Amino acid sequence: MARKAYPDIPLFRYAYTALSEADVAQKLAPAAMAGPQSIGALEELPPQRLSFVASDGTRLDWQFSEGRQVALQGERGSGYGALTVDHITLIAHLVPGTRRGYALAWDRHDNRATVFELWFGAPGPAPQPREVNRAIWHGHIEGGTPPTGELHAPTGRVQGRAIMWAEDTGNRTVDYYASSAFSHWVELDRSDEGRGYSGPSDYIKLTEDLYLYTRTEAEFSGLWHMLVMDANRLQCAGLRLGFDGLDNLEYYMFRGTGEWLGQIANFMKFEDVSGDPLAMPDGPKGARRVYRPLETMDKMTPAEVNEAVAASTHIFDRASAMAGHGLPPTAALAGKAFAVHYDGGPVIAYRFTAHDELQWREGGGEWTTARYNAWENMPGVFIFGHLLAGKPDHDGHVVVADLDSGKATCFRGYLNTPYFANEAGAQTMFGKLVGDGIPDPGSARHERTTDLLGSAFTWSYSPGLTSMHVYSSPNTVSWVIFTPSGHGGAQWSGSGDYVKIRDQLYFVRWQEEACNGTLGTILINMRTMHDSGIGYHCGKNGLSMSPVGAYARLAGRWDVAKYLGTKRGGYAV
Amino acid sequence: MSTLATNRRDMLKLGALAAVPLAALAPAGALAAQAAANPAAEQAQIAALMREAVRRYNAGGVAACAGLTSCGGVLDLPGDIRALRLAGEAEPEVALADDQVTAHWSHPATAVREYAFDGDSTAERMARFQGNPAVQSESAVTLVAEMRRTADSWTIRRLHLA
Repeated sequence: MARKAYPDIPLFRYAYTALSEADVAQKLAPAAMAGPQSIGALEELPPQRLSFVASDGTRLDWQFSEGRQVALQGERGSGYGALTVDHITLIAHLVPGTRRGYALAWDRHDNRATVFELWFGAPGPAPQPREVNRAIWHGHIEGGTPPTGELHAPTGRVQGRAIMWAEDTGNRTVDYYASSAFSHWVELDRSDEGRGYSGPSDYIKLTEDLYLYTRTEAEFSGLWHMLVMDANRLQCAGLRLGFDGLDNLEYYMFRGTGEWLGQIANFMKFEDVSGDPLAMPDGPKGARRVYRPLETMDKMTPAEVNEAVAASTHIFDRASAMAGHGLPPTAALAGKAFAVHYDGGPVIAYRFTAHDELQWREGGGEWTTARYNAWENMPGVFIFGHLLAGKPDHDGHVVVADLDSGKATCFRGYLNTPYFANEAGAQTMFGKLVGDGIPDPGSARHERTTDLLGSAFTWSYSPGLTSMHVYSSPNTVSWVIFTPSGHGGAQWSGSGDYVKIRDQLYFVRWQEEACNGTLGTILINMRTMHDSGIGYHCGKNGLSMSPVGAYARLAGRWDVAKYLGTKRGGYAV
Repeated sequence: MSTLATNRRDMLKLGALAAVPLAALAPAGALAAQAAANPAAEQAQIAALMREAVRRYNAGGVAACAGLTSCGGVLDLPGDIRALRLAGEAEPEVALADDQVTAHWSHPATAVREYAFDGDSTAERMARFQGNPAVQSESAVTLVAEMRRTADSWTIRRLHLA
């Protein structure tokens, strides 16, 4: 694996160095004295004492002096940086001899202020010293007119927006704010891949126009990225702190300009503008709910996978909470027979002997009986799936067969992938159907599509079990889980692929890489706003193929095509 | 079969009635005669018994209702029900059969159901991560019971949703 500051492999595959606290301290020391870097000029505050008093009584005193020097609570002085957006000044510095620093957002109109303490290592909730911890206080700066009314506070008002931020560093990022506790972003310049990632975030309302946004690239580099955004003027000033893939310290401030990409619907009560839906108010300093899917994922070897599959395989033989609102399986394929000729791939022949039993064979091989389920999601279009028992990688095929056009597409799921043997890999195979009464499509095939790019659909699988898909890039599917209040909560993402079957009918897959290992497949009918699909999963409880079905709502669509429409889709793994 | 809606006064008078454990069955003819003598009292007794059954079910589930049923397994209710609330504005319907020793009871109610997110799916895992291990929902149902007269009381032979 080539080591790069910004890896050209998915970040969840990159082996970030386990920096020690000593490593971190060593890298921070010179930067603390110099202060943050910046492409543009940083501001210099007049020599003064700034005293911040938080709502909980916490008090912080800074002494600013000439030469962009600051000393906190009488500690050694260090360099600082400051940038102002409208009437909010963002000030950042590290404390020499420590692994901590501060970012202060100060409203120069009314002295409201929010302070972030940022630190690396223990004590703190981050599992690795390289991941930035953060704790937040809202309060005011003493002196002058004390603020009246509410202090800065977490908000749900940013939820639903997407903005492309172009920094003065030259880096551009599409930020999706689909949750009030997480965010999803696609780097346009640091990575050619155009893949989106998700991480825990803060959204704090400063004024009607001005908001603080942060994200921690938890589970990846651990970098901290924050900005003060002016939502009306689409200007921002920000701070980046942490270590890249080569363990270089990034400690800089930036200015940026934004492009509004749209706003999708929110699902909180109409009057609910509250934020921080995953707060842990009684937790230790800096605590919040950070979704770390790799920690809870089963991680198995090929031998363990073989053993688990042999011991327990469940193919459509039990109810699934993911299909409580799904369509019933159809028996309409029973009695039919056809073959699927995949381009550059196998020829799989089928005899559907019952509503839930089929026989398949590859090429001219022996017939194998398998259990299947099928759904006729749109008249003439079937999605069905089955396990190909005996295949060394425990293949499961999920096929969309359009009996009216003769086209077929398969998402082939398989195990024994390179990183975790139980993590599903996926391949998209295009082909045609050959059978009595089925038209020959010639060379026509279903095709990959960007029709869904930038769209967000909510899915109601069962009472109370909901999610929202964010189709954030041609090779990424992200998903948000709603809280009981209807806020977007935890969010994650994985490789995705999108195939157009017919107008308003799309075949979508996502892989939950380094996260539960599931391959999710759904056939989305936008005319009925219902999907039918199949989840393919292997863990210590065995291998399963189970139905997925949910009621859909279109939450909206962001206009991201000009930034992401040319990215490649359909990665095999 | 005679059908009468019991009234609240009847139930208040008999509200303290809880079924005693099943005693030795009296001869059917004698029980029938006893019931036929005062059907309103029989219906009120059934209504009170069912209120008690619902109260016990909410307090301790099926096990708490053991003394009110003729045998195990008669509470034929979906496993996801966590509580039942009889509709306060409605009166139960109690119908004594012609044999006077069996009866049919029904009452509009609200079922509080709980769906546990205890599966392996990522959506369920993430819901648990967020501190939402389950969700409750309420739905309107009709509770139905089949009853049998015993020596000095009524017992539930089957309780289910219509």
